[in-house]
Amino acid sequence: MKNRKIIVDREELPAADIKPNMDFDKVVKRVTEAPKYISKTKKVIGGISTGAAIIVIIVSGIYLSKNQKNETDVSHNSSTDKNISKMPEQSTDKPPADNPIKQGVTNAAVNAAPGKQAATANTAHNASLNTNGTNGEKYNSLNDFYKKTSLPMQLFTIAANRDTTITGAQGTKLVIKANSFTDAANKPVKGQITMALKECYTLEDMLKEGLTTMADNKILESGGMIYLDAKSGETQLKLKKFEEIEMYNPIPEVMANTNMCVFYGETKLPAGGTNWKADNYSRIPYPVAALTAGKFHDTASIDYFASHFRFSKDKMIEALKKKDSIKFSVSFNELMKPIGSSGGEKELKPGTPLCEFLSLAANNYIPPIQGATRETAFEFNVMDKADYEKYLREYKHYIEDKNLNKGNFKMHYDASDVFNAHSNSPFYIGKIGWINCDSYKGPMVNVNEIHFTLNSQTEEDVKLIFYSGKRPSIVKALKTGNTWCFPNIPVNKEVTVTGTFLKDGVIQKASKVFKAGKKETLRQLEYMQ
Amino acid sequence: MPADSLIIKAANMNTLPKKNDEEAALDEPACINLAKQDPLKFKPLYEKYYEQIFRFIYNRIEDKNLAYDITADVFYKSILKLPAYEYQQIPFSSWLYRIARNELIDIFRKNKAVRVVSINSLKIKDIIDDIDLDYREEYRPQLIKLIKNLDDDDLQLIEMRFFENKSFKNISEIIGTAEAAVKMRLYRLLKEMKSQLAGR
Repeated sequence: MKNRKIIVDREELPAADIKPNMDFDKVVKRVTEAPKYISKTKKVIGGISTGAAIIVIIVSGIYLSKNQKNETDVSHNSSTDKNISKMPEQSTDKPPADNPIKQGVTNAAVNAAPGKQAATANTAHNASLNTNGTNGEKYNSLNDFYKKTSLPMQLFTIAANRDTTITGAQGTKLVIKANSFTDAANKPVKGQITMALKECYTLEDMLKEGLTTMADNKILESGGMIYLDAKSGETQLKLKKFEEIEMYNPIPEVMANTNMCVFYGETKLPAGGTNWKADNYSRIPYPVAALTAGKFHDTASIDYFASHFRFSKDKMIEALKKKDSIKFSVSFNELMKPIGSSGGEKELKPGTPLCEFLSLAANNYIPPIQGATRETAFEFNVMDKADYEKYLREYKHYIEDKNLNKGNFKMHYDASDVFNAHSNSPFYIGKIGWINCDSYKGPMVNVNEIHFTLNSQTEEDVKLIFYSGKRPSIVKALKTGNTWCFPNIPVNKEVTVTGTFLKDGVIQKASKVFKAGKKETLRQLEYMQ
Repeated sequence: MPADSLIIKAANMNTLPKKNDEEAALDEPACINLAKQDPLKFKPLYEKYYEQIFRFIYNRIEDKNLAYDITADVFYKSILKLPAYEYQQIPFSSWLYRIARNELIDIFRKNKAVRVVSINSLKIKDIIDDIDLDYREEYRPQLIKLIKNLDDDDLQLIEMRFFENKSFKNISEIIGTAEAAVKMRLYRLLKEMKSQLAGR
């Protein structure tokens, strides 16, 4: 029990009681009597800088021991008390090569074996299954093999009580707030913390780690995965309740994709793939402050807005039948102006508060093209009350001090949340471990199952890989006897089936590229020694 | 355009709070620059912010006299640290609140005072409303108990947001974190409180 005293409806002190206690002269006297008060202030800043320098040495020491380039960049922001430490190997803030994936899925799959020579790329027309042996090293199990292929950990030493930003070799940026970690007993941690980071942004790295992109039975498109761990000495740490790490994915298209959110690795069995669980609250919009007056932002925000509030005809007809439905409409026909300037008319038909809210939001926050005339029309003729309330609830927690006290509408809203969610908001990580910036593979109409048989009689790990744009999906096969099945694979997609097999302690890898067709659901693949 | 249309011009829809005359009259950046050279020039800022900083402290301390002492310490330290303050990085008021908050943390850590949580019973209803539960009288004591046992960081979030009506932006500046992170944290906190209340 906390040592706190609750006072309910405490009598408020009148201002007249407070004012007589203001004694500015007394405060100034203290200040002037303080020895050289300005130089004392400088001393405080000096102390902070020294703290940052210590971190430089520790971090650099680790990198040097790894024979990496010694180019640590640590700076300090005195106002926010942040340390920024950056991994030295990262040459710029560029994302990792915009996915080597396109260069050949198969290569990546086969190359995932340690110490391997370059494999021959397969093509979509290859009829036979290609196999590659490894360097002949013996393994007890596939897990044992994956442990060896596993990517090296990048280690960072941070101070528990300081805000710190770390940047991984591939460009993952993690903003860690002071005192974010506790031990298993929820006790805050002091002193130094060792952060371990792995970054998997290429298909090859994902395969080396034995990762898949499935959330229960749904297929994900991966925008990259990281592994994050924190220890204080030998003590395993965890993130404090409600504490979050801000993560910036190095791939711009992932940052810009609003469908991407954080998934946590629920099970990570090297040879068994990973099941991911979505964290639906891991991405939220940029704050209003991020929109700068006079600057023009991506007009795609309008689409985002519309998709949130557009209703199907059926839904409207259904709502019309109910007495308590909300009727309204809104249309814009306007000369757009830069944010922060005056001008621009909104034509609003008096209707429901939501309409006013949307219009106000549009007026203040829609990023326009300067001087351009744009006609934008949104019509929401009727909304079921339950739906209406659902939307109110949805935005209720994003309250700001914008009192739109019109008619019956007395809610506070922060419209920026509606309009700025479209891109580049960071990912918020609520727990450490395996973390995936992913989105669900969009609605797939033409899907089919791919079946095939493998007469391997070995320990095996079989996966199917395909692409949606530049992002890979790695699907783990469902196995019954010798029959393997990949459900819900889009037809006419070029897919790669890749297998890792352990026979007599030796790893063999095989892969085959083909087009998943509607009538080609059964394929016979032979494992070839 | 329909006759019953409502025309709202952008210029009239500025949702930013209007400055009152006193605020408008005080050129705060200029005042700060002068006060960096001469502590006596700090007086207009002292007069402007004294009451709100005192109330912020008094809401968390039972002893009125101690609250006055801490307020004096806050302004003393703010004048000492003023040369390091830069107007662009954080609003001055938030900077003062940040110093006040740190002073309080120090006081409580040294057990010089008992942490008080001043609860406005009207606001309890707002919280229950915000966590999306139909109001029931029995929730009140339960919620108060929950608030009493919150972590320090969570407690201050509830206090500032609900009992002191601070905006997310203000809160983020005071506690030194991103506005989005504050929203997210509060959202999750309310969700957790809801599950605890509803689960009883």
